[in-house]
Amino acid sequence: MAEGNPFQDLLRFERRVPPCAVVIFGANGDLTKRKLIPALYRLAYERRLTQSFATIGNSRTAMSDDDYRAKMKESVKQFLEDSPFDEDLWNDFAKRLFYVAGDVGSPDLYRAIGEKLQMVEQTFQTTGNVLFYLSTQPSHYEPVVEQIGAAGLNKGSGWRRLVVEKPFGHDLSSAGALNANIQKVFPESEVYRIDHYLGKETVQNILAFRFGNGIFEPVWNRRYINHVQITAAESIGVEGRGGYYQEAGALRDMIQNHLLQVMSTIAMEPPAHYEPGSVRDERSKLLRAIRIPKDHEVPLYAVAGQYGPSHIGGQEILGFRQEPGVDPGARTDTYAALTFHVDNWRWAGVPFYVRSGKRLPKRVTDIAVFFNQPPVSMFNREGDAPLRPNMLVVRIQPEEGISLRFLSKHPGGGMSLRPVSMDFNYGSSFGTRTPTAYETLLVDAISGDATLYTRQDMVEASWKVVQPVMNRWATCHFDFPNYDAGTWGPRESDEMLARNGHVWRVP
Amino acid sequence: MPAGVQPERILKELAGLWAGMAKGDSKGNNSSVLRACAMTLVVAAESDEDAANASGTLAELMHAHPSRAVVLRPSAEPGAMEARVFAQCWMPFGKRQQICCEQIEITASKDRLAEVPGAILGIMVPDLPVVLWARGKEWLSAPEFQLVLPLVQKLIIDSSKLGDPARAFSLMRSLQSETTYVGDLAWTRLTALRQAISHMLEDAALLPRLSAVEEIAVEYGDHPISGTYLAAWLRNGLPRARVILRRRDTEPSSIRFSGQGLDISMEFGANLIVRIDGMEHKAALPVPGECDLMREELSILESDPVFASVFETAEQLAKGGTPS
Repeated sequence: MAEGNPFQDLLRFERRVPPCAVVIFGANGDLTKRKLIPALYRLAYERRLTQSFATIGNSRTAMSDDDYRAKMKESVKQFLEDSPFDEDLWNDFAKRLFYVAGDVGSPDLYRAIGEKLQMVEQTFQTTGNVLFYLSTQPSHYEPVVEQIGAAGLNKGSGWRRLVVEKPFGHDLSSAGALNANIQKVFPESEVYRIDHYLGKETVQNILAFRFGNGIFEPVWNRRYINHVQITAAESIGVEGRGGYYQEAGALRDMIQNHLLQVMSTIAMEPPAHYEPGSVRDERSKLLRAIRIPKDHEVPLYAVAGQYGPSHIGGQEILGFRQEPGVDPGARTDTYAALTFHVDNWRWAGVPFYVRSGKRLPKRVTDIAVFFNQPPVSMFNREGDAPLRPNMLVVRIQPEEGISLRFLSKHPGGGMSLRPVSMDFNYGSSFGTRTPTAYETLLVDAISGDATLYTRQDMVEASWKVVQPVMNRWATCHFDFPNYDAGTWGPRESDEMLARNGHVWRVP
Repeated sequence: MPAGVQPERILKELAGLWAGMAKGDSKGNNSSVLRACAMTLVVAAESDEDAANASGTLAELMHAHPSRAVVLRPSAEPGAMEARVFAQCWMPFGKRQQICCEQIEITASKDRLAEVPGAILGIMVPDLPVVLWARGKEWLSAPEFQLVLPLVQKLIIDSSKLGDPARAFSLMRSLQSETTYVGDLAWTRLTALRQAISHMLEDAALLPRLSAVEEIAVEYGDHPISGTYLAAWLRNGLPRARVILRRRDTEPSSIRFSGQGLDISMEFGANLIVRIDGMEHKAALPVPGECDLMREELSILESDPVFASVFETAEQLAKGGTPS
């Protein structure tokens, strides 16, 4: 569309989405209220949505269009980040916001959605383009997709796409079954599996950092890099999601998807082009190169943890098993740490340590790349502690940026070295507002750019990597809880690194 | 007469400034600052008051474009030539470190202007782009200024301060070179309007019909240069249409596309209202502040093909000619 517009100005205008209707299943849920509708409103605020745009929400709750608009208006006011709320703009946006109540298993719902889609196509010229967004509970994914197909809504005068939220299955076989069922209705090229970590500016910045500069790639390999640590820590507990979380756990909830995608971004080969096929091919290749542990190796390479009660800052903190909605005997991993090995020429022999947990001392997600020591320590005297290696830290949240630790001479006489840090603070160096991951990913899906979405083979490759760990853990009787809330996880996790002579960094 | 401005001394003062900030305060609190710099931004102010206004804009601008800012401040006092250095710092919301940028203020009387280019040469940040923001026409006509231009990757002016369109465009043409791009805030002010127009016309059903446009009438209020730019941009988009540009004394300004079976009218002020086939569409047009305009211009340090081609058409429209 934009190619045909003689008034386009690519240098100065924001990228804008083509005409379309977005159908959200689970339109009354938390994700829709907190993320999706605020992101769409924000895109409207920045004039990135065309007039030929409409949103249709669905959930079981009976509501009129106006009731739904009023509800979403409150959500936008509450959850809009870094932006003012504009009443006039909302009214314009709300004119294109509709609601259809109904059970996702009932064919009547899809007839009603079909009629609504016809109406918005005629009224707003959405040109038959439809993006179906699955924001429901995962057990509804397959029935919804099946019904979309049965009602013929997967075909029309424009494109028809499907956005699927995680989790994509709960293990390798269910992910395969889900993918197979989805592909009966939507071709793979029209399926957008969302991993919001890939939509984060700083994760995208890893690509810019690695492949936009000439100085890092030459040292980005086993000759210079000793090991890599990826941490995603949360200071909070399960926050009312105990029921869901006890079925998921840290390995499924964070590592299988978000952190393996981050790892693939940090470790993949340079794509030939910055376009969806090339970038996703390289991510996929990396995931497929991760060594799959054998059952007897799991205890060496994977550690599970669960937090127990504690006192933090004078407050009593409940243990996981005491959280509301959690089975008092739950064996869920609220902490998981794994050692991955990538069997390719670039990374052979370099361990990637990945950990994620709840109720850790702080909320932080970062990647630390530890370089090898210089071959000769000419500045070390006998009895001195070993010099600290160079380290590059990519901070994903909360203070996005990149730091390089290196050694510098301490001022004064003698040749005493001390580590110093050279910092690039992304959010502060570019003080302008950065789009939320959902804004980025929604625009991408509507524009047909799947670069930041995961593909079937990537999802299945990442399940393959963690499946042996899940299998082993399912039969283990852990002595849970094994770490106190507010600490950096179980002792076994430290021991896992110590076996290689490494230590977890304190982020 | 003061001794003048010595770049080495300024750089030494800057180094001292950073060393002092790294030490923290007298109570031993380490203030933990982060130094950021992406370019040298030379700001040529028109007066004391203008320099104060520019400093306010710079403080805001540094968040998006951290720079070593050099503010040139004209002085009425004969023989005046001095410099002072300071840091512009801010604490990003929720962060622990202050971000700081350097600012150097050079005050010079007319009789010492010749020393300014040498001073700027010595204090530019090496290996980073140099941008010159000339806030008034006084500087643009100073011969000393011509010495600075070759060092500059981009010159930013506001042609709405330069008089009528023909004279303004002629001056701008003389300032352009192979190595210096000229950006014009009068053009930047139109971005929100242009984007809204572009988006309104991007409708799938409407786009093919635009080839039927025979005439584009632009009626523009207070800012003839912006009106000329707008007409030129529309003309470049639809080169077969005849463009009529009229001054209008009352708000709002308007655009009308007409042709066989097609009538699109637009009115704009605080909002853009577009009427197409009896349907009315509305988009908010926020008024950009000086900082917004500069932020946009500083993000384009390379050539801007759309502006370059609009500028050529605008020159011809201003001369009263028909663009070829």
